[in-house]
Amino acid sequence: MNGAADLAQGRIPLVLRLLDHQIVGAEDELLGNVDDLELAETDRGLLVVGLLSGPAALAVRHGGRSGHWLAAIWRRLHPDHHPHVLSIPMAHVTALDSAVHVSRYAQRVLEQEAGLELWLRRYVVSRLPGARGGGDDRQHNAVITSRERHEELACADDAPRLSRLLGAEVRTRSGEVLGTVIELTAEAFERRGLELGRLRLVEVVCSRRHLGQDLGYTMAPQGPALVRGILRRWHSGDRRLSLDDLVHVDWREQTLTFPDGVTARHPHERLPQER
Amino acid sequence: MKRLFAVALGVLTAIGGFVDIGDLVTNAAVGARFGLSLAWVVVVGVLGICVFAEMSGRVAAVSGRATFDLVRERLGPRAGLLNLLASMAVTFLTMAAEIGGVALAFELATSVNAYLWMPVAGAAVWLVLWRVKFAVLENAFGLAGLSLVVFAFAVWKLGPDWGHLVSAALHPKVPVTEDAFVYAYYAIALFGAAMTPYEVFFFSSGGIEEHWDVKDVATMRANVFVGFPLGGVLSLAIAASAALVLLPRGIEVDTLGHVALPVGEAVGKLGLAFALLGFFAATFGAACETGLSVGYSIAQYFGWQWGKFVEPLRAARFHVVLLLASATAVAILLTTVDPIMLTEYSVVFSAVALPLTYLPILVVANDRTYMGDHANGVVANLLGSVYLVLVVLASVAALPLMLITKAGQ
Repeated sequence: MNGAADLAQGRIPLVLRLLDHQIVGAEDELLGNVDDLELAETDRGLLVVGLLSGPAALAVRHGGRSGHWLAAIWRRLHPDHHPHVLSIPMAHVTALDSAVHVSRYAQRVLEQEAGLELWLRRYVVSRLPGARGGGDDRQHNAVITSRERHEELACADDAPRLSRLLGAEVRTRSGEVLGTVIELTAEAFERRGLELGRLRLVEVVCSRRHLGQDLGYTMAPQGPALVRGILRRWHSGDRRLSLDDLVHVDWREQTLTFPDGVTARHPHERLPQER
Repeated sequence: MKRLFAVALGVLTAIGGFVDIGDLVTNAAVGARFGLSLAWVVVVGVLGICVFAEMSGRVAAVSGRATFDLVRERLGPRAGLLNLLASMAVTFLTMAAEIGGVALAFELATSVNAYLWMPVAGAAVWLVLWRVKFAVLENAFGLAGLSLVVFAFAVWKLGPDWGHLVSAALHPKVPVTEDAFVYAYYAIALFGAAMTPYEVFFFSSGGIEEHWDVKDVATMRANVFVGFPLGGVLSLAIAASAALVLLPRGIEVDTLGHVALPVGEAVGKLGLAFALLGFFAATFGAACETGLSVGYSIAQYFGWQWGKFVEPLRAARFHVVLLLASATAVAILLTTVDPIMLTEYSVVFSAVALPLTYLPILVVANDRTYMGDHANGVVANLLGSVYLVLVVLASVAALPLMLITKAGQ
């Protein structure tokens, strides 16, 4: 579709390159945003196992009252008694550029579970004259109009999510606080053929500043001197730590504990073997 | 030949589509009060919109992502939502003002009260958004908007002392009758009118509607760097005509009729007809653009399917947003708010919201992972940085100036 490079090589900064990105189907259908990522704790470390998309996942990211309301409205309007958030397995992610490309199966699931779209399609838009045609449409497959459940893809309510790690406090065993998490990097370790597969979390970047995301300048300095200079100064206290050193994650308290004297570098500082 | 035609068409629609109700009213109001002493702001504003429209168009062509996609991606859901609410409030206000402008143009043509025309104009805008193909929408109103060239013709017919006019524009000073704060307030209003954020929402999303890719960057640049400045010349012609006819008589611009007055005086009835056609095309075209921008931005924030490149049934949420926006805009107008006042407020609030849009564009246009060789060069970055400082200053100063000057009275 476009000239953007394949971003799945090497270490992928998850907040910058995956979170909040557009999910697209085989013919560039727009299917939603990556609102959160489902994680799993395994003996290989922390893995990214699925993409979460939709109002319920977005509500968690919002937090606070607006998030609470969004989640409550979603639950109330959902046809199921105890609705679950869907998780698209990473094996159905086929490519990563400026968008996240998914398989046809994942596309169908996302289309069949888009409740608001389907409701408006059925009860509002299709009743207006001329709802078919009128676009410069290149897609010829049938438009999905009815909802279908995909319980097989439900994300467990207590499954760890990336949003729990973002903003978590990074501290050493003796209690020294290094900052809060603003970025995590991961690498594809089981990529074969068409699918990206699960990602293994490799590093965490923490900052002492609380100013949202830093616009994608966390990992590499770039951009006009003015913006680069301001952000570099603002984020001079950022530290990058390897998750191999991680001692413990407390999901409830949102803390990551590292051993005392752990190696912590500024994210822009590269080791000789990383160059 | 085909390519040349595409470039020519693009440039012509960019000229005609550049002017909207904000430019019409603000330029005429400023011309009638300050002569050409604020012409420099139009020049600065036009260069600014060129710089950022080119950047957003280039990002859209190369990465396939429109502006609000990037805002969400770089700012995250919370800051992104605040940005969405602020930008959409301004864009929506502008949309209401544009529909009001369409109704005022009809009132001038028919002498039927504008408030009766407002629901008709709103319904017509929605119908166009619902049914008309994107390319038709963009080209038809852009080309019809070219009839505003009659303002330039009027200035020429008025036979001004050109040396005096140019010297007034080149040596700007606050007129003795006016306060420095009021002068600064109108400078920011003009700047906001030229750089309204919806123009980049529309421009970048429009690029995706038309399936731009890397090959189209050159055409896009021609449209921006030739079309927009010539559109800016139209803005200046409106200000100059007001400075020549309204300023000496002490007429202040309160209605759209006042904006057309110099054309009537200089060119007569036929000129007036062209001016009215121009008003209609400019405001109607911009009403469609602002309406689409509201739909584009909300859909992009949530990741919904958007765009007129798919049939409406596939983008139900997007089309419902368009429908609600058109209806609500008419509802706001029917509170009998004065559309001209609405316009004046919308351009000032645009100035307040400018940094929200332009910072993420500047940042992403530098992302080499996305943009590769098409990332910003030295010139784009230098201009982008200078304008970033300017838009932040304008944004900070806008509301205090509005309060101090009681909105320019």
